[in-house]
Amino acid sequence: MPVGYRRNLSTVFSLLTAVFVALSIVAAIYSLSALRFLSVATYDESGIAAVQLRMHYSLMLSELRHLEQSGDSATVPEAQLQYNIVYQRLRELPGRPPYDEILTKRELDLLEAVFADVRAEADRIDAATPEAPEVLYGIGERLAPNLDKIALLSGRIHQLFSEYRQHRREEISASTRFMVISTAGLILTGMIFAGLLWRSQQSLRNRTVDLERTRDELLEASRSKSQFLAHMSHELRTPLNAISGFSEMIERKAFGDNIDPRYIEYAKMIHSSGNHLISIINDVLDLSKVEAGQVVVSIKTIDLRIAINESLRLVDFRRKQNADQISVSIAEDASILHTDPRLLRQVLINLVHNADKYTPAENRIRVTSERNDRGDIVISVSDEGVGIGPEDLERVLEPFGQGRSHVEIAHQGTGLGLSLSKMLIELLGGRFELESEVGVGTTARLIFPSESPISEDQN
Amino acid sequence: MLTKRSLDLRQVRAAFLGFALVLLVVSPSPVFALDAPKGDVILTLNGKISETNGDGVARFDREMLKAIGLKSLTTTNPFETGVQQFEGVLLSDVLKMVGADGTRLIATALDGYAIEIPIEDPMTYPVLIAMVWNGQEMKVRNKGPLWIVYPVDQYDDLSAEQYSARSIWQLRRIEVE
Repeated sequence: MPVGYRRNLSTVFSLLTAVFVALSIVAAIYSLSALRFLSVATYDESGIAAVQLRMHYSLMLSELRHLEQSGDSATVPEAQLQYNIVYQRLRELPGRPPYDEILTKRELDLLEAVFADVRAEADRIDAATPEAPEVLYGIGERLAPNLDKIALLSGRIHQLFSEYRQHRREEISASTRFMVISTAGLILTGMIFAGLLWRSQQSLRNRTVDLERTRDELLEASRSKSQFLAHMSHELRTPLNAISGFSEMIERKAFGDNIDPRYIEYAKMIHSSGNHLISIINDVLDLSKVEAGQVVVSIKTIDLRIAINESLRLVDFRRKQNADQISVSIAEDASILHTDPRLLRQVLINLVHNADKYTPAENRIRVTSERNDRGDIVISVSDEGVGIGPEDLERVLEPFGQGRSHVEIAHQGTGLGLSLSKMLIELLGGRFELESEVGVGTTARLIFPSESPISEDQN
Repeated sequence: MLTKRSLDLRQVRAAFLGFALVLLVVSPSPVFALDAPKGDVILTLNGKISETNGDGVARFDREMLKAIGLKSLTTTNPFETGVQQFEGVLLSDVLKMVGADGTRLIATALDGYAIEIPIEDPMTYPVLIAMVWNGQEMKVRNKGPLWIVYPVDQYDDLSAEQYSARSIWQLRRIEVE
């Protein structure tokens, strides 16, 4: 699955999830508010209060009629009470939830008309006492025609309430449907998400397995390469020693002068080329040993004054050895170092040899050892040679780098010396730095931390 | 001597006590823990109550109820639109005063409508017997004289419909069962 396609897919699903979550929240709020409204505001959902009004109205009329027919003054308080109850009900009904919401103008007008008639009798009702029941006579007759209106009102209200309940039911079922749909959507997106996640994990696992296999193959290939190089170098060195040795014998006229001078010249070239080839092979051998982790480090305490001078002696300088041209300066506090003397010497010879090779005969080479601000011992080899351009500086430190610098080609370098030096110094727990400017010169620094992580060999 | 004198004293005390007992039994008017109402009776309690001012009943007029201590309550109400302001006595205070000992109350209105209130309601919530509604003493024509009002806005649980049904108006009598 292409990455872009997958990213689009997850964006789409994130949006879908957000939409469904929002829908669920809205549905939940909607349902909860509908339910709360049901439980509080619509206590009387069936219009019972209207039925009660009708009942109390009839009771009031019968009490008033009974009083008129029997003249029983003891029933006066009861008639007053029934009147008051009817009065209270007529008065509060229009403002009572949910009547205030449901009743139309028609019902409100009817209620108001009846209430006006009832209200008109209030003073007479209040004036009545058991001693003077006559005040109440005639009220029943005047209020009786309203019974039909109240019956109609009660019927209408019953109708309105059934419509209202139906509406509520539809609201609740709509909100429930809404919730079910959004929940189903959420579940669906969740499942698709889980599927996608599972698939991407599966492909990740496959890729990890592939990468591990590739890594193992590469490691194996690298090991084979190192082994091959070590083997080849060894095999090549033996015949090269013969070439180098016999050509040198010819060059030195070991068996007399009766030889054409041109053969001497050719033998010189064979000898020089052979030596160059041997040095390349030695570098390759060393590099492959380092890469294969086969270099044995043997740490000793060494005196740098001796080690550096010995290395200088071993270099076959092209220039005449001259105190002016090669200067050595070793600080008192930077003369003792714990390191492998053989490997350090190899690096020093390589660096001094390079300096000699790339520096015109009249310019100087300096070898110094001193401590820097942090107390590290810094051995530097500087020359006033051709220098290395910034574009080549990184490259010369890479073994078999992408391309050898023009300078190296011009001077028959192997391209391995600097990278080998760097690897060896790092193997010894130090740091290798190269600083150079074209036309000014090059400085190579070997920096050994004041507390070298490699401890001294017990041997 | 000493023994004889103390004996005399005991006899005197016994005689006095006996006289007092005779006085109590023959006393013409009974002594009740509650005062008798002076005005119109607006609330009557009966049933399982220990303190009465009549024949097994505790009758209250407006002044007696007021004397218990008026409390205010501002809340919405399922029967009215908007927030209402009530003053009245706590149902629990009235029940305490009459020494009510039952599990439920049967509340009856002037029109004969009756409902049942579990005793837990006044014990758990400050349920009010309202006498004053929005600053006016309640008359029969205005759901009076008494209205049982639940603090709906103060307790979420009380918005349930069963509490609406227990909010009886034109209250006249409470029977403790």
